[in-house]
Amino acid sequence: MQITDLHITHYKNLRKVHIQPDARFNYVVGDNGMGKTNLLDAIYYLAFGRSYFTSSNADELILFEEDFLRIETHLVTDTARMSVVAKMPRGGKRIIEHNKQPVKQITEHIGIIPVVFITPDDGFILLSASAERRRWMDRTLSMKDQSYLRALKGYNKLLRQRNALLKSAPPGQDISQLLETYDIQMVPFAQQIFKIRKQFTRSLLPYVLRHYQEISLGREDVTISYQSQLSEASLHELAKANYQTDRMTKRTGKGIHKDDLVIEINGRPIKRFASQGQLKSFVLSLKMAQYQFLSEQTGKRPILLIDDIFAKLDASRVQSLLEFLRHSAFGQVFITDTDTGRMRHIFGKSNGDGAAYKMNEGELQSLSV
Amino acid sequence: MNFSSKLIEDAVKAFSSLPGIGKKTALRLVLHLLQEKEEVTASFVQAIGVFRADIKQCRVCGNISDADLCTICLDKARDHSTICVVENIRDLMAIESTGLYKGAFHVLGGVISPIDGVGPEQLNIDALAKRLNHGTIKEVIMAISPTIEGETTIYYLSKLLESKVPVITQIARGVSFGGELEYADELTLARSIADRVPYSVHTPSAG
Ligand SMILES: [Zn+2]
Repeated sequence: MQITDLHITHYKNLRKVHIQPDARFNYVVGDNGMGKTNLLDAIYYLAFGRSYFTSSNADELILFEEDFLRIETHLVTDTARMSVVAKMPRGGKRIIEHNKQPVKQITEHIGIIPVVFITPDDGFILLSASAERRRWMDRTLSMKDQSYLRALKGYNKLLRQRNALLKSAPPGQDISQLLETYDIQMVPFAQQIFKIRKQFTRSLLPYVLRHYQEISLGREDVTISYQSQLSEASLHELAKANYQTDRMTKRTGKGIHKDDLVIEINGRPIKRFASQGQLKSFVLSLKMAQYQFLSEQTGKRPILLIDDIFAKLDASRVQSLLEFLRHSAFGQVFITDTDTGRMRHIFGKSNGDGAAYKMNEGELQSLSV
Repeated sequence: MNFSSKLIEDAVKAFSSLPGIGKKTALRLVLHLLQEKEEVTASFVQAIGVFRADIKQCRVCGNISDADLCTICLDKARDHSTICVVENIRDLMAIESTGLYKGAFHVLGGVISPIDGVGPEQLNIDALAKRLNHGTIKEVIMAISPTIEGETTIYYLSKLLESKVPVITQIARGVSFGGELEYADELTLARSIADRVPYSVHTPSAG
């Protein structure tokens, strides 16, 4: 699977970009702040209908003083060709189109263009609160399985209603009947999500281990475990036992919205005890594992977006990433870097496969290498 | 649009505040009234004023009504041992227009959605429970759209009513039943009522 004929209009600082990406490697060089990351993010936006980088106000994605953004491509697979558009007017709703027909639900779109995004700041996935790890899991699993995303959306909608009920009910009013109604509706969604996340963690581990050992050249013992309240009891039981606490805190305390991935190196939580080097190695392994998981589970090779990580990694990690890129069965890759020389070097190692571009003030030009 | 008259402009504004009426249509209506005799406008205004002031809500079922009880509740030819529960009056009208349902109704006035400030107390639920206290009701049909909020409402009501009525049913989810009853075509709607299925209140087993 690859994207061809990519048009980006008014996305962040990209006024008008039109390229015919190479089916394999696409190198983008340019100084910081020129718009390289925005190019990768535009591809991510096309895949998810949102930016990789959290933005509270979607209008901020639109180029200053312009009225809309639009990203368009032709998606080519072995068997089919389709046009995909993501567009949004200022102050309006984002619209996704497949072959010029608007898609009704985002659940019908996510997974059409699987992507894996590697950025220099990915360490936050490991260091932040559990919400970031759930978000990473959810995005990965949504690309694999539309029913997962539907279950998640159903669960979250019920959770919001349940929390609103807890918040608005006057103290003393008996709301247990309605709380239980929500719990019973949430049970099948929660069960499905629990099962898929558990299975995911299990199948992810061997990939992560292999990459981590390669990158760190070490014999460190790494474990990833899925932590969920649902492994102790059913959601219905957990919720019922927690009614009083829920009413006091005015929040739903039990459910799959409390899940986490617990990662340990040599028996110690990575969050608190890992060195900078271990963190970088681990998060890179996690992203590579994500890539392999998606390729093997979906039969489609995701688009790999690698943003400016060569400057931030030491030589041995760069080397193992390159080895990975060269030897694994890869689809389309977009790589950005500030250093033209290094890019040329990498480019040479890939036998000159691919296309190179230079990004300057939001404008993209072809580079002959 | 630029009007030479502030009076015309105000009248256009009033009409175009109604759903489905744009500025252009509003202007056409206003100019039409202007061409007609003054009495036409007077009786038009009176009809609307009286309707708004005198319209009532049926004390039994919540339907709109001119009197304390609506024509459906008063109709002796109908089967008052069956109650069809709907979200709103538009849905009641949609089911009435099929001409095939001969039972009574109960209008909830919405679905349970705490996010929108709607809990069971905001809906016409107590009156429904009271209607079932006499033991004369044989069946309650839930004709509520199968959204997440609709499902919450159906489940909540079923739990509340199950001990008071022998049969609780749910309208069949028609083939092209796209959410709101109002938009379902008459045939689909009629069929989904005819093919209603028993609603089972089930509690997932522990473990
Ligand atoms: Zn009535």
